[in-house]
Order: sequence, then C-alpha cells, then structure tokens
Amino acid sequence: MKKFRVFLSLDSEENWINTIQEGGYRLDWVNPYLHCYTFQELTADDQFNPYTRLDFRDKGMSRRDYQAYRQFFSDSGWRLIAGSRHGGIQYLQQKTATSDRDIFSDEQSKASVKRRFGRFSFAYATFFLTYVFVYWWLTGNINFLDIKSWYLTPGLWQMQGEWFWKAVLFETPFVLMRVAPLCIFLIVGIYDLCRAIQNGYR
Amino acid sequence: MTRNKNLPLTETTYYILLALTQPLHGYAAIQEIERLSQGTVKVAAGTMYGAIENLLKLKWIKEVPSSDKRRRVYHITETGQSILRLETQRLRDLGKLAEQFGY
Repeated sequence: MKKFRVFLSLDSEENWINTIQEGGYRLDWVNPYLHCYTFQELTADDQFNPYTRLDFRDKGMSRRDYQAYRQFFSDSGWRLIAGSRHGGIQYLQQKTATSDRDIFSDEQSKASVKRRFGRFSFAYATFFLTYVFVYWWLTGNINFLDIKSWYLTPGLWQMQGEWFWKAVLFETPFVLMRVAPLCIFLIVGIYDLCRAIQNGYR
Repeated sequence: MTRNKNLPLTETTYYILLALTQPLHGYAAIQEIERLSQGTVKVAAGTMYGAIENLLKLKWIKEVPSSDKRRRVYHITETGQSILRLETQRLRDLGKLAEQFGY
C-alpha cells in the first residue's frame, strides 16, 4: 500500500505512521522527496505490530560513521528502514516486540531533535526563497500568476492562426524548463519555512 | 567560589561517564548503565547517540581503536575524568549537607 502525505513536524509524521501500523501494517520504505510511504500488510510470520520512530540528522556522515550509526541502532533493537547518510529523517523500526518503545528517553534529547529539524528546515527555506526572489528580481518580467508573461518570444501573442499554435507548442517546453524549477523552489521553500516556524528555528 | 559552568551534569551524562571509565561501544554502554543502576536507568538509543556526539564535542570522551570494524568504541578522557571528579565532589557535599539536616 502506497500513501502520499506531507507533514510539518516529526511528531505528527511518527503518530500517523504508527496509527497505520496499528491497523495491521508495517512501514516498508519511504521516498523522502515524493513523500511516498510504502506499507506492507502484516503476515502470519510477523509476530507483532512494530513501532516506527524518527530521528533527524542535520549533518552528513561518512560511510563509516553511518555504518556505525546503523549498527548501534541495530544492537539496540532498531532497524533503519529508510534514511540517507547525507542527512534528513532516519526511519527506525523495532526489530522485536521486546525492543524499547522509544528512541528517546529524556526531554532534552527530544527537544534537540526538534531543534535540529527546525534549524535545518530554516536553512533550506532561506536558500530556496532567496533563489526564487533573486531570480524574480533580476529578470523582473515573470509574474507567477500571468501565464502569458512566462513566454519571452517577442510578438508571440500577436501571431495569428496556425503559426500562433505552432509557436506556442514550440516554446512551451522552454517555458516549462524555465518556470517549473522556480515554481518547485517556491513551493518547497514555503513548505520548509512552515516547518521551521512550526518547530522553532533558533 | 565559582563552579565549573558544565555542572551539574544530567543523570544520563553522569552514568555515561561512569560507564566509559572502561572502553565500551554504544550499546555496551547502555547495558552497563542499566546494570550499574540496577535496572532503574535505561538510556534509549537515540538519546545515547546524541549524548555521545555531545561528549565527543566537549572532548570528555574519545574514540579508541578497536578490532570491531562495525562499532565505535569510546573511552573517557583526562578532561572527562576531572569533570567526573568535580561532579562527584558536588554530589558528596550535597549528601553531607543533607546528613546535617538528619536525612
């Protein structure tokens, strides 16, 4: 079963995953870019409903460090099911019913994960929104809401009939190449900013 | 008298420093703490990982070479030992003070 969902905080994401798992599923894999969660239905071989917990790494790790990270959690009863050594959310799942139910045992470490997440989101929001703003400011002729202004060809909108449609068709891929990254950057930037505000970015 | 700005330590930090007076890898330290505290202190994995990261940054513990390629082994440093000594003295003083009050 695949599900798409976007979250603003680690807590709400974790709760959502665990609610679905309680219904007889196990989180199998996560695509962090598409926000796509793959769940497997529990079979007779699975003897328990696992908990999945989220850790957040704001810095990249060397291959050896990441190996040690995974090994340490594995020793402690958690399997890393998704996550990257270059940072981001790490999805850890209980290996057995007797594993701890939580990966954090004090308020301090819970707060510091939230702080890392907020700070990381804020850095990305700043990058994406600055990029969009500088691009918009330097070119000055893109109005996001006015599709006609996306086309730079002089005289395009004065053309008639068949020529007009051919020209538009010809230009559209170029326009998309120019505008689509900008729109994606804008959306991702705003999303990251909301995450930063939600989690505190200091 | 001014106090070292790192004191008082959290209970978790104190136990980790005590456990790492011998070289141990992360999970072995969790088990050692559980044993030392007679099962009352169970440090969860994520908390332990963050605490080790933090203690490495403070240079209170350091990584030591080991034959195990997959696990990192840590040991307390001189700085760590002096912090442990200071904190133990602080706790001892508190205990003595409480004794004077009949506790």
